[in-house]
Amino acid sequence: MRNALALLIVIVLAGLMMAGVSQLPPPGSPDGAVHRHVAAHYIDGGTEAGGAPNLVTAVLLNYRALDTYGEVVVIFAALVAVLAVGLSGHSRGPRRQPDELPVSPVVDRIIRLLAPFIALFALFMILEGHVLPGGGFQGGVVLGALLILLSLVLGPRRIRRMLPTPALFWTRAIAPLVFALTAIAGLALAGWLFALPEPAWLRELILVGLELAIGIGAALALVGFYLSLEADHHD
Amino acid sequence: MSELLLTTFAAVLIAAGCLFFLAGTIGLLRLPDFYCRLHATTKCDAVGAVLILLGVALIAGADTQTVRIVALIALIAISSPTAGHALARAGWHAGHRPWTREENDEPE
Repeated sequence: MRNALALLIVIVLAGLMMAGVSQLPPPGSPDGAVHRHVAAHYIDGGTEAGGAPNLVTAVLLNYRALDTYGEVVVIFAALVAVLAVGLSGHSRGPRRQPDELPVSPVVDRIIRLLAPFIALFALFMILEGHVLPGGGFQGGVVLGALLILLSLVLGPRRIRRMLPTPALFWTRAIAPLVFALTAIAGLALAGWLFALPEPAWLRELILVGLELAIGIGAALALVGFYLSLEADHHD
Repeated sequence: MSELLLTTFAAVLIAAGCLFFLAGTIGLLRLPDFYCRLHATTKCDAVGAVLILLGVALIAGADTQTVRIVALIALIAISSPTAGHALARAGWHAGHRPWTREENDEPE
């Protein structure tokens, strides 16, 4: 009975999807509504209205800023959830003796050698994000990976103590906070959410700020995941 | 003439690099245990990619691109063997014992 019901639902949904897909214009056709109206509009006025010289960035940080805001909030919520679960698991469970194996001297030396270059590359990706497609999230992931590598060499305690707890508390939430701030500032200065105020340098500054916030938020989320896994493993 | 020579040399380097990738991939699929497979696959990046990039750098000639390619070669040459070393070390300390033909044991 349940199987028959599931089959029925699948068939109905598949039929609806097929019907929808069959109405789509052939992919890549230049006469499609998407290409004649929306895309043309973006290409015509995107750079000016979006405030970013790159159209992808303009869409990401301006046209669909609300969507990006949602993404940042999702990442932050995931971090909060992992931290909450990790903290509750601390006291319970069988305590297993950590088999402390020192990091190999080769790995240690190589990570120390590469760390400044990785940091530079991460910063480059984040800052370049407002003129080239991509940026904040990708650079943040590189930065987070660097911090995880460093925690292998220096020990997770040093990484945990890098920021005092109150500062860490606020920095973890930096991406949603900065996005909310930008949204409200746009509403106050130009009249709608996420509007970028007029002087070009201010727009640029805001875009760089948004990219930095995305990057730092993503990096700290990654490090948070890793550190709470690591604590679970050793405690 | 010299350009033809350079291009031929670059082509030979790239083909050799591809050969290393092929050998590494076959090794990954066919070799019996963790250490053997690691031995095969670390050759892909460390030798294969470096050879291909050297060929590309030769074709690019004296250009800013070449500087980037050389930096990339340096990065791969440093990081890939380190990753292989770390994997092998972790495997050893996790209790993997190398497969031997004499014992005739089942590969993991």
